[in-house]
Amino acid sequence: MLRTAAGASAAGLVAGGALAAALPAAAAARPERSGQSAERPAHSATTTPDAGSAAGPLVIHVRDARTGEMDIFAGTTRTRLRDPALAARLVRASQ
Amino acid sequence: MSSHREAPEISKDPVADSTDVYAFVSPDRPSTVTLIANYIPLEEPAGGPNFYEFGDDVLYEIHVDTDGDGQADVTYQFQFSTALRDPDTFLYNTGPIRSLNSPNWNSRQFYTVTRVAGGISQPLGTGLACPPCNIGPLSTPRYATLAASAVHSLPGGVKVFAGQRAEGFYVDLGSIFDLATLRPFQQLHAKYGMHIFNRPEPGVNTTNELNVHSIALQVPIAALTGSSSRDESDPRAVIGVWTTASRRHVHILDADQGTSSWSGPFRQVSRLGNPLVNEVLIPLGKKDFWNTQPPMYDEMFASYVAHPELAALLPALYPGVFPHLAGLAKSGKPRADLEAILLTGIPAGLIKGFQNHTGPVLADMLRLNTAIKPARKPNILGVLGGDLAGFPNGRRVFDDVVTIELRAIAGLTYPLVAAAYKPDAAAGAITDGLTPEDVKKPYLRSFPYLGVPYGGYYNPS
Repeated sequence: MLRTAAGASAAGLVAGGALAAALPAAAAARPERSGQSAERPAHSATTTPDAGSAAGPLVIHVRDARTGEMDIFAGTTRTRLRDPALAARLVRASQ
Repeated sequence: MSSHREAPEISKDPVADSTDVYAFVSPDRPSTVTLIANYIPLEEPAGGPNFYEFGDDVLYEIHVDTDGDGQADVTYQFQFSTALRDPDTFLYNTGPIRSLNSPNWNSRQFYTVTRVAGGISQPLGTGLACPPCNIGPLSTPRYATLAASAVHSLPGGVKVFAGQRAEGFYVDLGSIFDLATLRPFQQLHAKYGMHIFNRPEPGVNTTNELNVHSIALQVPIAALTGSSSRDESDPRAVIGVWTTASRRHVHILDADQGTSSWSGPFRQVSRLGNPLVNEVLIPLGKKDFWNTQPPMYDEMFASYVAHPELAALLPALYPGVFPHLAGLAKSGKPRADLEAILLTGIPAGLIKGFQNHTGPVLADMLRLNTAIKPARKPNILGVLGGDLAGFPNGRRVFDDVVTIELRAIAGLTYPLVAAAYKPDAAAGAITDGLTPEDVKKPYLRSFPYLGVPYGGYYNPS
């Protein structure tokens, strides 16, 4: 799955185990995890049920390839990180 | 409608579309409140082969604010899962469904209820069965009894029901959105000079013979307020109620496997407190955004309540009928009466023996003063009709919220905050011309109060 948003150079990538190798580098890029209220876009209502499912795909949404800002969705969590090198690799892989 | 298909995005997502919220002191169990959130608008009873059901991928919630800050102090969460007995038949049922565990019932739905308070989640029930939809006399014989068996008792004196019900909300939607040509007054509508109508006609109930899916809870009042006070002046007696539906951030359609999967936290896509707020007051360009927001931030929408577009339109559409309202709208004065009714609750001292004020935070919540006893002879106009147990003190299933809000917007309630204002005579008469008599299926006298759903074999009739 690949999306490119006009002007923002945003890409989203569904990944399984293949992305695992890239994640250690990403983890160094100050990730912020949210599932409840740690990180909310301005005024949005995000909620996490008690019975959240950890199963399911790992999804990366490259919000801005230029700055490397991306969200990683896994289970009922979203982790935001900034890693321009990883973002660039993902964009290259999608082309 | 109340909130049926009220915003562009949610109108395309019926299973997550909240349609009505009710909150009232249970008339047959007055130590409890009943909270009902309806979803899935405009269900045709003959919905086969895929009869209506809740979304397995949707988180449904009913929130209760007990301290007036527009944030939930107690939340009840509902999550559903569908189980197929036989994936190799196209049929919802392969014979009569006489019980909730009938082997003839192929597509069944179950749910969990979780209470969240103070950051602690407490499972109240799991594997709770929904009733089937009302299909017809052969498939779902003795439907009322069958559905009643899906009322579950949970710990703490809580009752719950989740499943199909007859739509109890009544509205002449055709007249309202044909440029507010309300049928009881259509001959007075002269804005466009067409003069099509020369006499009044009865209202037409748009939701007639349609069903919804209800999530209904009955909870001891003390479990919400921490008090069993029956003093209506006690601020602790007032609760604010709203519902939300949320979806996961990411939905993946796996074409190779022919399956769907989801990822990420839940994100709110639908919200409902007071009826008609997002429907009638919030402009089209803000409706989707409004649905994603919690009530605590409703100050950013307050101008649409204080200066409702409809209040300015009525005098223009009905020339000479609303002269005082025209003057009020032209003055630019904020409608503090509507702000009180919809965003803060009505303070003590404005209506004798009544308050449902929650403080200065502007938040669209259905506010219920739980200390006010159920009315012995309810008036469908609620507080406007002198019945303090009805809307906007919470909302009962039969309350005529369309007429109440039309009259309020038309200026009938403005004297609450400006005693010198004299409402137009029409403000006390405006209505869409419907009453509970226009709902064919009767409301129930006990939980879950909304009527037995219309069956698919005989409806539409």
